[in-house]
Amino acid sequence: MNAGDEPLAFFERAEATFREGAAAGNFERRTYRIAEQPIELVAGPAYDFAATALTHLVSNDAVAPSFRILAWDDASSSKSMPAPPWSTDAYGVRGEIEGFNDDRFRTAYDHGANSLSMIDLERGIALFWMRDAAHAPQPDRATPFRTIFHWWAEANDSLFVHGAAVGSDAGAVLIAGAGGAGKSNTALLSLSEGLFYLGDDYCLVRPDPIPRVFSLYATAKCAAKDFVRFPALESAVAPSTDEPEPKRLLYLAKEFGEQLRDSLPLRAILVPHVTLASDETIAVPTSSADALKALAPSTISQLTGAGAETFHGLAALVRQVPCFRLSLGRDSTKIAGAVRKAIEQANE
Amino acid sequence: MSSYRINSPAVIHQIFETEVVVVNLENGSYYSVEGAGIDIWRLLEQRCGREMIVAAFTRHANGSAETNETQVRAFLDEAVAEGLIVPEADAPSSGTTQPSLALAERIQSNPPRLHKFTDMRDLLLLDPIHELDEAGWPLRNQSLGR
Repeated sequence: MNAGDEPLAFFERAEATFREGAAAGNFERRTYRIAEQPIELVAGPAYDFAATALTHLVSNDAVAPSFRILAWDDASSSKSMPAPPWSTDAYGVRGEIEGFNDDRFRTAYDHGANSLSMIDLERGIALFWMRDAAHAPQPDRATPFRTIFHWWAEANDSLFVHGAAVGSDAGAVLIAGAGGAGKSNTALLSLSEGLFYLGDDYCLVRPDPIPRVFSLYATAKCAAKDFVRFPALESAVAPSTDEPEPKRLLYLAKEFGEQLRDSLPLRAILVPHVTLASDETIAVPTSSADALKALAPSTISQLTGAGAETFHGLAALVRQVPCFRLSLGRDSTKIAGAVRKAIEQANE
Repeated sequence: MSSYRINSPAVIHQIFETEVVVVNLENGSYYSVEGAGIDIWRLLEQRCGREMIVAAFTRHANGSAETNETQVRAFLDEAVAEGLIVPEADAPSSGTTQPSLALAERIQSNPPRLHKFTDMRDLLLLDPIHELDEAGWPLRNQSLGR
């Protein structure tokens, strides 16, 4: 076999394993409308968490999907995943598998979740395999198939961005920043105060012709110490698991469905900073470079295959919309108002 | 005269008016280049050589030439040490510089600065894989739980 044939050969073997499992088990088939595209998810019974995270995007349109994700695990399947045909030296720093990434295929292993993601861009099919999906780590239950959605977005002139997004009838803001910057709390405080919600961790952004942000996950994660601020969200907390969980996982579609939006025009990028300098939260214009530093490193570091293309896409995005530094004050009840004001300011 | 090249594809960058944002994809570190470092980075982008870059900031510097030279060389050494640029001893400089009083003054009022950020490194698998299951798949690395 030529080296170039290996990705195809392995993809076919893995897909055959999925199909055997699907034929024997009670796999669910659902179609979602994601960033205006019909996407089908065929998943084994242990992937209920994925269906819950994406449930606000379920589509009943009778149209052929433009992209399929096939997801299964060994624990609930009749046949085990074939052994990897690559050596341990083949794993890159983001889990990318050397020799299995080319124009047609992308392949990556997530060492935090023990999961394999693989996409065939030519056929529009992705495979997602875990050893045991019933014990999927919290990040996967909150934001499933991240790597696959990143590859798919890149192939569809969009960006899979590490950031929260909330908005109003006037449009949305993307809230950028690494963990601990105040991104999730800002999004959840905005949700609690009646703003629309598109995501707290990852969103899709289509930059052209006019930047638009698309929701992917109706979920949120919140540090246990911060959760006291959100008594209204108690009913959305996911059942606890036996996995170590540093944060509360929230499934928002059931209780907050009316505030979820599939997409909104992107009006601004906010870079939150916890300053506690005063009670007030204020948004002041900041540089595009500041926004890029908040968006790009955390997006790229967490996504397999994200590199120059993602970086330059984000660099173009931060030049397209106004950017604000959001200095988070002590009075958390005033944060949503500052977000609303920033949207209005961006529209002026 | 030897030149430098930006260490692509591992190193990617974006030049803004007030800052250059640089990311090293291999180790997750990212950088903010400020002050006269922006001018230096533009010259590096053109593959100008070390002496050419030094000259751009010193030729019209009058009394401050020595200080300017120290600043430029220190910045270049730091960028090399961080793996952001690579000296190419055998490659001729392909860029051109325009030594100017403006550059000489800019570096005096706003010296080159390279700020390094390492908060993303924990998200990368920088250690080799130690454990495999029976089929040959890696076992979970708890530190990458995200």
